[in-house]
Amino acid sequence: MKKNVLYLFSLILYLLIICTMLSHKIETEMYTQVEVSYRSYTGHIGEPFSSSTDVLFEDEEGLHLYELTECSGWYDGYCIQELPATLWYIDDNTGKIKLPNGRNYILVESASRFPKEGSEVVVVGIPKRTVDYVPFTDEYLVYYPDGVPKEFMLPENSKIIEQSDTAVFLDMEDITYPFFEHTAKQLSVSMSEENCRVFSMTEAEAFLKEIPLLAVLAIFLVLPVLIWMCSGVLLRQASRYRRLWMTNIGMVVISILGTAGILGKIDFPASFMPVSSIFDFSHYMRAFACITNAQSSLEESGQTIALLIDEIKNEIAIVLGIGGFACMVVIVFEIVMARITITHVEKRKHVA
Amino acid sequence: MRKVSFILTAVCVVPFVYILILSLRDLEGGFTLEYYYEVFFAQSQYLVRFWKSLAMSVCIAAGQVFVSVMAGYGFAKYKFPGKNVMFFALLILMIMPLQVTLVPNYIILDEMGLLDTYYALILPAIFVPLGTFIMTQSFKSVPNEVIEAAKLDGCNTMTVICKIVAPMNKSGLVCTMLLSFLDGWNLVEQPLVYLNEFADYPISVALASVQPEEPTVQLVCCLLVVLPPLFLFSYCNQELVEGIAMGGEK
Repeated sequence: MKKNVLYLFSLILYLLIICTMLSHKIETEMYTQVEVSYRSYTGHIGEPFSSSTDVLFEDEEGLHLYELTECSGWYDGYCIQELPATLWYIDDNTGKIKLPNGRNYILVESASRFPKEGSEVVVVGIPKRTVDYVPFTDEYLVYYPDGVPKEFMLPENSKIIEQSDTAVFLDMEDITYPFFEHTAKQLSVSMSEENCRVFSMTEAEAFLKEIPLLAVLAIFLVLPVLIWMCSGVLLRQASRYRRLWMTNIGMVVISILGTAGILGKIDFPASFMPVSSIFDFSHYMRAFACITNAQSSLEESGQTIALLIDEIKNEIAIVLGIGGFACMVVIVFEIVMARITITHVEKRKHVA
Repeated sequence: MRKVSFILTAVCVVPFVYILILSLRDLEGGFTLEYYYEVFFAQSQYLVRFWKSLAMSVCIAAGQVFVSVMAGYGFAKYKFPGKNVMFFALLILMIMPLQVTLVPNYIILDEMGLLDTYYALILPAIFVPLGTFIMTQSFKSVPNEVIEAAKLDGCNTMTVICKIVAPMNKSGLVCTMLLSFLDGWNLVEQPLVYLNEFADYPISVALASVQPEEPTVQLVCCLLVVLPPLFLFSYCNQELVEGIAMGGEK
C-alpha cells in the first residue's frame, strides 16, 4: 500500500513541478505587450490637458481609452484599466483628447491584442522621443482574402516588394517594435479593412524557429513519465533495486533541469499568441493558413516561408527521431540494469 | 454495522467527488478542462503559492518534531523540579484556543521584528504543545533498562534519542509530524494577523480571495490544496492510528 501511494504521488509531484514551470512560461508568453505614452500633470488644476487620439482603441462598442496601473490582489506587475468615458472627451476644435488635470497618466498607445480591462500586461518598446530609439525595419505581408483593393494606399516609409491578387508584400522602414497588428493596420486606410490581416515576416519566422524547441521540450517531458512507468515494474521488489531507483531519480532531476533550460530559450512573438489559451491551435492554424495562402500567390517572395516550413519539418523529424531513440535507450537501460541487479543480488545470496 | 460504515464513508467521500465533478463542468453544464488550464497552466500564482505553503508546512513539521522529541524525552525520562507543574501548564496551553495567544504572539513578534515575514508563521507553530504531549506519552513506553543498557555501551543522550528511543516510537513521531504539517497547511488566522501583503498569504488564506465570478477555479484549487494531506494520510495511515491510540491509552 505504502509503495503504491509513493509511486502514484511521485508522478503527481513531478507533474506539479512541470506545471509550475510551464505555467510561469505560459503566463509570460501570454502577457499582452503594450506600448505606453506618458502624459504629465501640467500644474493647472481644473484645466484639462490634451492628448492625441493615437491612444484610442475602437471596437463595435465605441472608443476606449486605457491606462496602465499596478495590479492588486493575486496579480503582481501592471494591469490595464479603462478610463471611464465620462472622464475624457475629444475636443471638436483641436481633435485631441481632453483629460482632467491633477495627476499623471500612463496611457496605452498600442497593444499586441485588443486590451481587456484588468488584464496583466508587460510594457515593451522604447519611446520614439528618447535618444535610445533605433529605427526598426521589417517586411509586412498584407493578406486580403477578398482581393487587394484597386487603389492600395502605401503606408509611410514603405515600398511594395511584390503584389498579387490577394496579397501585398511590403518593405517597411522606421516602424514600431515589436510588431502589433492593430498598430500596423492603422498605418494605411487600405490596411484598416476588417478582413485584412497584416503579418510581420520577422515574427512569423521567429515563431516557426521556436517549434523544434517545442519538440525537444516534449521529449524532456515524456522521458520522466517513461522512467516512472518502468519504475512501476520494479515496485514489487523495491528494496532490491535501490541503486536503480536512485539512478532513475537522478535522470528525472536532469530532465527537469533540461526542461527549465529549454523553457528559458523559448520565446514566441506576442503577435502570434491567441487571446484565451496558448493551446488554441486553431488560432495558429488560421494565421499560418493566411500566410501560406498569401505567399503561394506571390511568385518571387512566396518561397521564403515555404522553405522555412520544410526546414522546420525536417528539424522536428530529426528531433523526434532522437527522442524516440532516447526512449528506447531508457527502456533497454532499465531492463538491463534490473537484470544485472537481480544477478548481483542472487550471487550475494549464494555466497552468503 | 456495514451499512453504518458505508453511510459514514459516503458522507466523507461524496463532497470530494462532488467537487471533482463540478470542477469539470462549465457554466452550461458541459464538460470542460478550461478551469484546470486556468489553475495549472495559464497562471503560475496558484502553484507558486502552493509550493510556498508546502515549504512553510514542511518547516513547521520538521521544527515541531525536533522540539517535541527533545521536550518529550525530557518530560518522559528525567526528573527535575517543577516537572509536573510545567507538564500541567503544557496541557493547559494545549486546550487553550488559538485566539487567546494571538495578541501576545503579535506583540512578541513585533518586538523581535519578525512581523510580515514567514518566520512569524513558522516560529510560533513550531512550539505548539500538542507534539510534546504526544511524544511524552510515546517515550514513557520505552523501558528505562534499554536506555541504561545503551548508556553502558557508551551512547550519549543524543545517540540514545536518535538511534534507540525515536526509532522505537515511529508511530508517535509520524503522528506528531502529520498533525503539525496539517496545522501549518491549514493556517488561516495567523497569516491574516501577522502578514500585511496579500502576495505573502499562503494558499489556505488566498483561496478565499479567488474572484467570485470564477467559483470553479476555486474548486480546482481545493483539489490542489487537498493533495499533500491526502498523500500524508495515505502513506502514514497506520502510524497515525497507532500514535493517536497510544496517546489515548496513556
